[in-house]
Formats: sequence, structure tokens, C-alpha cells
Amino acid sequence: MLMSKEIYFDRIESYVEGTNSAEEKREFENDLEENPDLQEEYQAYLATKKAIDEFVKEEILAKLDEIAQRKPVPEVKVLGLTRRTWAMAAGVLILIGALMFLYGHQEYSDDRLFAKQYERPSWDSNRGDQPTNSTYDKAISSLQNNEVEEAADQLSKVGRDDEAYNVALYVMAHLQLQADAGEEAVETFNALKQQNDKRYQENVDWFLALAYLKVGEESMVDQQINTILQNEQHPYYQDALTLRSRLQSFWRRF
Amino acid sequence: MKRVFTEEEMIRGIQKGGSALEEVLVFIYHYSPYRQSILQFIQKRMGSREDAEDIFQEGISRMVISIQKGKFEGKSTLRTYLTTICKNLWFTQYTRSNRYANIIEQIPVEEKFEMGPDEELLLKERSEGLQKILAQVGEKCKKILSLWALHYSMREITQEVGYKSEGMTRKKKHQCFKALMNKIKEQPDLIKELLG
Repeated sequence: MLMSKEIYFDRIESYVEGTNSAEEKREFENDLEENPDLQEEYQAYLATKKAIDEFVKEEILAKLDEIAQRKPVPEVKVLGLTRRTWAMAAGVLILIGALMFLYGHQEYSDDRLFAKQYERPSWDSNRGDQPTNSTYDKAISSLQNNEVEEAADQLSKVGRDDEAYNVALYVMAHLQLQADAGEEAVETFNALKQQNDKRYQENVDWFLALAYLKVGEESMVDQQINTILQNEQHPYYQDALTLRSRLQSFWRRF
Repeated sequence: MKRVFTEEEMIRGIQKGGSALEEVLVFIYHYSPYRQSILQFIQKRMGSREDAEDIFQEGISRMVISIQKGKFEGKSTLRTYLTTICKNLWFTQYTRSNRYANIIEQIPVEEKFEMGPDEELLLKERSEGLQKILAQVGEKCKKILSLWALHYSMREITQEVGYKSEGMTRKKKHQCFKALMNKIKEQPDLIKELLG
């Protein structure tokens, strides 16, 4: 009898839990109709299940008491991805982009880099051993009197056969750079370069780079920088490194 | 970080039971607006804070049972369902105490979830009879069977009661169920009552 009730229990449990095959299920239902012992066990099983269902409330209330004791996790505000949020985020990104553009544009523009790296030469030192009372000498006098146009006019009159021709080209090129006449400065420095005058070679390397920067020819600037960087003893070696670093700056992309 | 549930997810979590049910209970209790609005409703109608908390918890337990037994048909939102249960519980309580008879309100009932006073009294008496039987099967059995009825998995029950293996928990649940069944079999009237 005990064994049969154990078997009943297992069969009932499988039936109630739905783990029976279709055939086993049919067989169980047939037995249930014909077997009073099985019926009795089945009723007791269902009543027990119902009894358990009725006292789960106590367990839920116990769980709720436990939950009530827990401190809620501080709320982390997550912005809902509404159209408004997207629009705000896009606005902020645009603003950041615009500010980066402005910063990059202002601090790393060609003109700004030129201004940072260009140093006006001292005309007195250039004058040094140059012949006096020449056209060149008059031009320098005019420069010292801040008569820039007059000086430029006098420099342009220095002839090729004048021994002050190369220095006149050099000063003229600087005046052109200072007057924002970049293309003319490039031309003048190149003319001086053609003279192969060692006194001006290293200066021309550097100031030609700046003249190209002035006109926005970055590839030519790079070329000049590379020429300078081939010689660690070049007087403008550090300046060239600095300029290259600034030209490759992240901010130049804006 | 807390999880946010939609109503559908809450219902699924309650139906699934176990840890999914607990996550939903934590959400309802601490993070949903349900608790605050129900507490306010009861407190505005002469209920104390303790009354309101008790009603809220009782309401949740009834809602969970209704959903697990398939009595919730989804005719109203879960929030409306829980709120209506709690309101009815509160009105029943103060009608009985006759303290606040002048503030009874008519609450529209969209779902069948509430019992009449007679039915509730009968259930209470039956529950007391069951508690006596359960007291004989022991607290551990009661816990295991309750968790099992709330659809906790054997792994979850094992963790809760601190057994070493799921096999041991399964065996214990089997023993507890049979022990309770044997006690119930000793009371044929109780079987009839339980099976209606």
C-alpha cells in the first residue's frame, strides 16, 4: 500500500507539473476515473498545493519587509533619448566643435603661426660694413625714420652689380613680409637664394619657410623645414622643429 | 544601478517568480511611484503611516498571488489594479472599525480580485487552520514550500535556505510536501474546503 501511494504521488506530481507525455497523461486520467485510491491521493495533493498557495502571502510579506529595510540605490539620472535630448546633445557638440574651430583657427592659423615665429631683423647689424652714401645706405636711413615706402623704393633701385644687392634683396624681402606681401616676399627670398650668398643662405632657408607660410603653401613650408632639419647645427633648427610641431597640431584640423 | 521596469516586464517578472519577482518587488517598493501615491491616498483618508504601509504591502502580496494564479486579466493597468486593491483593503478595514464610515468612496472594479466579507472571514479561519498544520511541519518546510509556490528555482531555494546542493533541496521539498499532505489528509473537511 505504501509503495502504491508513493507511485501515485510521483504520477500525480508528473501530471500536475505537466511533465507527462500525452500517452501517460491519458493513462493517468483513465486510472483516475477508475481508481478511488488514486482519486483520494489526487484530491489530497491538490488540497495541499492549494494550502501552500494560501500561505505564500506570508512569504511575500516577509520579502517586502526585507526589501523595505534596504536603502534604495540613489537614482542615476539617465536622460531619455528623446528628440529634444538628441537636439540638445547635437547643439552642445556643435558648440564644442565651433569653439574648437575658433580656437584652432585663431591660435594655429598660418598668420598666427607666422606671427609667433617671425622675428624682425635688426637693420643696424645689417648695415655694418656696407658702403655709406649708397642707395642701400639711404634706404636703411629711411627705415630708421620709419619711412618704409621710401626705403622700399630705394632698395628696389639697388642694381644687380651693386655690392649691396644681396643685402638689399634680403631687407626688401623682410619689408614685404612685414607688409603682408607674402608672394612678393617668396619671390624676393628665392631671388636671393639664387645668388648662393652663404651669408644669407641659412636665413633664407628659414624666412622663405615663413614666407611660404604667409601665402599658405604648406608643402613648400615643409620642404624648407626639412632642409633646415637636415642640419642640426642650422641656427634655425629649433625654430623649424617648433614650426613643424605647430603645423602638425591637432588644433590645425579645425 | 536600479533597473526600470515597464508594466509588461513587471507582470512577466511576477509570473516567473524567484529572483525576477524580487527585482519587481524592489522596483515597486523603492522606485515606482505606486507606493507614494497609495500611501498618500490612505494617509489623506485618516490612515496612519503604519496603516498605509501595511495596506500597501498587503496589496502587493494580493496582486502577486492574483497574477501568479492567472486571475489578473490585464483589463486595467497594473498600477490601477494595485491601487484599487489597496483602496478596497483600506475601506474594508475602516468600515469594519467604523471609524471613518463617512469617507467611503465607490471604487470602480475592473478586475475580479476582491472577496466579500464572508469569504474573507472563511479564508481567515481556514488560514488559521492551515497555520496550525504548518506549524507541525516546521519553519524550514514552510519556507521551502512557500518559495517553491512562488516559482523560485531549486537553485534559488537552495541559496535561500542554505542547503549544500539542489538535490538536497529537491529531496527536502518532496519530504515537506508529503508531510503536509499527510497532515491535510487527516482532515477531510479541510480538503473539501480547500478544493471548494
